[in-house]
Amino acid sequence: MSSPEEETANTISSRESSFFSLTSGNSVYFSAKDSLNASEDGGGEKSSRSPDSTPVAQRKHQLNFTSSLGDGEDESSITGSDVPSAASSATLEEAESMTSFSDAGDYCSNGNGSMDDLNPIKRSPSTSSVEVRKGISRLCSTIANSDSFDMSKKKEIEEALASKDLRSLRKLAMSTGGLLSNGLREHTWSLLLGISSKELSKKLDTNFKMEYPDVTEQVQNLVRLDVARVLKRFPPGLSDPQQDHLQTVLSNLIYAVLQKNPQAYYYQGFHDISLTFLLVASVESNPYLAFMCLNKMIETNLGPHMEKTMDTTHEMIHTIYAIIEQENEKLYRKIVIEAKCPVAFCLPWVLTWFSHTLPDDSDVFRLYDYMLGSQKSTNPPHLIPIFVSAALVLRNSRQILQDKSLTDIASMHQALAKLPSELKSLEPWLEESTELMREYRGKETSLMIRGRKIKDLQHNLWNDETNNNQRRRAPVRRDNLLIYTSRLLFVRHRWTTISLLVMMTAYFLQSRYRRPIFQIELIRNAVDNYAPTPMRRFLQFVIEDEQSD
Amino acid sequence: MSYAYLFKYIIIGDTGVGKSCLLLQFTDKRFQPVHDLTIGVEFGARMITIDGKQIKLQIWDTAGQEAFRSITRSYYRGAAGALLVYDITRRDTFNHLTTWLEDARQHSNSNMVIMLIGNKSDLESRREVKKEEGEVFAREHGLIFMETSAKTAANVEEAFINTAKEIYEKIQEGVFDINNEANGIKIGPQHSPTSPSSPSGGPGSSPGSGCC
Repeated sequence: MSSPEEETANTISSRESSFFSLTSGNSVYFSAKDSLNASEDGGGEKSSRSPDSTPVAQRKHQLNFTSSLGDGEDESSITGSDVPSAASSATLEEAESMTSFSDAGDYCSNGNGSMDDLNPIKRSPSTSSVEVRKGISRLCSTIANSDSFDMSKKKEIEEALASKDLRSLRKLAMSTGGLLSNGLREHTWSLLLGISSKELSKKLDTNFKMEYPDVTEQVQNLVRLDVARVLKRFPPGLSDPQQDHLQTVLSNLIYAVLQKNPQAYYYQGFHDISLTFLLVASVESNPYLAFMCLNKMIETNLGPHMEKTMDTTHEMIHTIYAIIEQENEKLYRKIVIEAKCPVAFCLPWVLTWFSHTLPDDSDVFRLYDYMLGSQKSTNPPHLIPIFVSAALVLRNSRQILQDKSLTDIASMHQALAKLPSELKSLEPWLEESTELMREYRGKETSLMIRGRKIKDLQHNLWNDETNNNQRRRAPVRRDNLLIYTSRLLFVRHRWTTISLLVMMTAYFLQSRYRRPIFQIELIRNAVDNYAPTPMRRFLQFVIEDEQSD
Repeated sequence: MSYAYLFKYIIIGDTGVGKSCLLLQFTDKRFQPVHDLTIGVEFGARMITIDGKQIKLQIWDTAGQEAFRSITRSYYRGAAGALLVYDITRRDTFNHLTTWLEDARQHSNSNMVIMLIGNKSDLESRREVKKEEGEVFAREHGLIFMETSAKTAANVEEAFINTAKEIYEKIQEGVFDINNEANGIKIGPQHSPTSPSSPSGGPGSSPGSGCC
């Protein structure tokens, strides 16, 4: 228990056992972060604890519990992952700073009785719960290693991380393969979102609470239902207790984020985003990092989706049609005007950054690398997933244009919605997205305005369809000339017809009888009764003229 | 595949009541205990036979969360049938029916046939809403009612097909104008529009069962 390595293992475990109670025994990933934070962590800051934080005795208990975990740690659990050379360089100071994480966590786990009830594992840590957490961390670290693991790129990323070179990190995140592994992602993502390590350590004690009085029971129920349905995205091979555990952590994470952002309304799909960050943060069992990232995400990217209704989002995603219109008008006409397809096909893409749609989680992580790396490529950053979605539709334009069956909403919606699952490789698509964003840099506002207009236009198209159909219901048979003509004469232009008839009768009578008095009486009678005003005036003029003769 | 009519359906109701599972059971005849969450709208289709006629059901499955309603509403427009689903093990999903119903009636055509469905009837031990309550609600609001289980497939076929029968009868009676696509009914590409308002053999008196 005396070697620095073991110290680290212990402290990590203590943190994880308490904060959201996500634990792993896997210490190796920790070191990279430590080398990052060591300079800024300033352990002293963390002394300001909330008054009702856990009694010291309990913390001790947890430390003891995790010590035993450290002792029992098996070397085999570390195999197969990238082991940074700094693994053994963790110092006692870092260890102390880590203990403070557990303080906040203790507070959190005790603050919410109901969640405790839901999570028996948390209350009575046993060997099996340790296994649960170990397994989760191990699986999280293995699920998302890029196929083309590039050692030189890995080194580049590590160097950029160490020097906090944001420009290089952005470039590396966007370029082929992204950030390679979840171990590297963990800290890069928070940096790309603009969270400083100082912020990470500071906010921990001052602002973080683990009671959720502002999260209504209704929302908690909704989150619970949603979280129960994300199993598909969990790392393969998790046991039942592991799944239960991860689900509880995920729910707690979401409540905490909602509590922190009272203006934000939870939407279905936010849990997918949360899970992505949690899985990456789980490599080091550091859900706090996920918490920070999600707060930042709401601030910078997800704000419009977290309003009370999806109206803003609905309007905003029409920008995809504005982009398509600019890039490929034929495609635009086919989707928007001919098929009249509503934009909802890309709603899950935008709301979850494709994490709800892409079948493979390692692709999801890669895509998040890209989107987090391109935060500065477009303004506002909310448009990034929309540009990426537009690029996906555009690169399939030939296929869509050639398919003659795509004529109505249903077939078009279906064809577009399945595009992500047909992807073979992400890289060419992402390159095209980069191009697209570069092309429209500075023109985002006009695109959004055009998008809004397209929304109205499509709305009118639907209304026209309904109205046209209703008009067609009237028994107008244009093929029957007689009916058509008589309708035209006696309904539509009845005054003209009557006037003409009157004039013709008058002319006939005049030429037949040559009796002006009769003729004038007749005409006057007709004029007074039937003719429209201009006609009446004209005829009166004729009559007076006649009489003066 | 050729069809005589195409009926457009929507499935609405609170989140987690089993809308997507009902659709999956109907279209694919399988059940997923943990079904993916629906964000926005999803879509399914199946062919059925009524009165010897092939009818294609085009079914739009909508997200349950209220926030999405402004988006899913545009799919209500032009639906001939709606399945309004609640979960018999969750009282709140039953309590929300009135809002769903108002919303559906407001944004769709007045002739739309609405079927009220109490899903998860296999979970008898956890039942919170009595069958009679569903019946009463349906009677009060002029809906057809059925309890189903997407898990055991009980009544799932019937729910979709009875709705279709009702629509078919309304066509025969001339209530629905089939030339107006905004009513959610389309005549198949191979079928010339015969006059539906003067039925020759009375309304679908011997409707067949589902295909396959």
